[in-house]
Amino acid sequence: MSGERLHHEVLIAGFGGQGVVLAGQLLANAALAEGREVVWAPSYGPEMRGGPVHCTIIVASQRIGSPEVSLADSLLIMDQASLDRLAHRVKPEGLFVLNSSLVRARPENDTCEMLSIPANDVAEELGNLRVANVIMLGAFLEKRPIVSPESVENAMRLLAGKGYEHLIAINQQALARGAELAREADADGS
Amino acid sequence: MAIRRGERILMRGNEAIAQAALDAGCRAYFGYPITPQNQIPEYFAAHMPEVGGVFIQAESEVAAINMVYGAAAAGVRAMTTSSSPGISLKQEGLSYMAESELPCVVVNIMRGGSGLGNIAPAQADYFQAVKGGGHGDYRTLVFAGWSVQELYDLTRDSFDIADRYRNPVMVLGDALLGQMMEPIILPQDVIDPDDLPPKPWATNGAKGRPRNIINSLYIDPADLEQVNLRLQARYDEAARREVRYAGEHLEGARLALIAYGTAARVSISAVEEGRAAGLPVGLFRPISLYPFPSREIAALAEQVEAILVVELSLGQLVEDVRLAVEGRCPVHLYGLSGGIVPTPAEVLQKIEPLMAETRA
Repeated sequence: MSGERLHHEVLIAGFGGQGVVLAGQLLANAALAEGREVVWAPSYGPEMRGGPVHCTIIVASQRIGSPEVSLADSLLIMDQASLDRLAHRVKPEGLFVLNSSLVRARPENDTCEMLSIPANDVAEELGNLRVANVIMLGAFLEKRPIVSPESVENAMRLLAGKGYEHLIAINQQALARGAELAREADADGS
Repeated sequence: MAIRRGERILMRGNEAIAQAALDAGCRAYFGYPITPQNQIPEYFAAHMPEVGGVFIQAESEVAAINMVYGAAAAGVRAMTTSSSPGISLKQEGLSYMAESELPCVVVNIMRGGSGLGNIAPAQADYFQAVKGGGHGDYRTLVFAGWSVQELYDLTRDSFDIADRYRNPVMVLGDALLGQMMEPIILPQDVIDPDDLPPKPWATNGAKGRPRNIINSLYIDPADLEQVNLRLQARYDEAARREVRYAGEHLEGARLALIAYGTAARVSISAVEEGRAAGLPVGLFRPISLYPFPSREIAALAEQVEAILVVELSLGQLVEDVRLAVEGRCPVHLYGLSGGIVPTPAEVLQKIEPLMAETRA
């Protein structure tokens, strides 16, 4: 963490059950622990189980004015429907992190950076499909280190609560694996 | 309850409001579910029993406000919360409580209206909140926060203010402020309801003293007039003592934005972008909406060349601003409705042509 001015707006989207809200809360809590200003906001509508869901997180070094994210600096997209719905909600020089296990078509966008991570497949390799969200988060933070992985791990402990401590280890693995995949993707130039 | 105090934690606006009430010694909550404020009753359902208080999910909004009426009459700190359509249903009870000189705190997490409207952020209940809302010659004192921390602080203070003026106090938030999480520091000190000043007027058992009567029926006009003049005297006192506001970048400003709540959050982003581009623009933010900071806005109107009101309604706040300004400078409106929140860039687009006018 340097004294540089930071203001980064993130939008995470998927369908209910993919851990979109939790991934956002991990990021928000990590930012809080690092002394950042932060706003986390959920998409809010007549929601249904398994239906579309997204949340936004603003991480900043200065006071945050508008809590609404209209165009995000980074979009983490968990499935094709979310990409179709929200691909326009990104700044011109923004970053897409795409879950290529469930996103078939790349967005038509010439100015943004694209990072494709087969998060579902890798999560299954790790032994739990439900850590796909944290793989995506790990990949994103490798590209845009707005918080440290250690802070995210601390946030996992904070949010896991009683009875879920056994899930922390696999989530730590998922976070590291996501970062690794992002580095490999960079090396491939993809 | 393993809640950390004295350090930054993340909390939703709705949760912070409920915690503020508990910390203020509120031991009676009555509500009926409505989106987007359901985390408030949910929080009370979990935590009110821990402090030995009463949580009831009532059968309707009307029942809930009348339970508040009863609890307040018995002298305990009582609260209800809802969102726009539900607040409409509570207006009869608020009118009765005001005439009965009973304190309570009501929170309205506003959503798009009118009618059932939608569940997006809005500020269209401004008139209802600040002009009385129900029938009769009364007002509710109204405060509006713009952050999770401020919603906590205002909700907590509102219990003191309600007791001081023996009048309902309303706190306004909106769907965004209620749902979002932000850093907040909960103070270490909390109020023990047993330490609160006694309420000698309360109907809490007349053993050893003359009975108290809580009533809003005064058949003789001379009697009713006396009560209403007493209420008015309290509102006059509140106008002297309870006005709250904040200003930013107003030094040397030629254009002042006036906004509260979420609209003020968007506006400060626009103001800061404008300042960075060299535009002499500032923000005045009313925090108490009734009593309204009329004198301060009149003074501001002497200092700036124009005012732009930004509100998530189609011309409500702007009326009180124009009453305060009394023609001293032009007052423009950027109003949005239906649950639409503007971007800072959109507000800036309204600022720029007005700046050009002031230079001319």
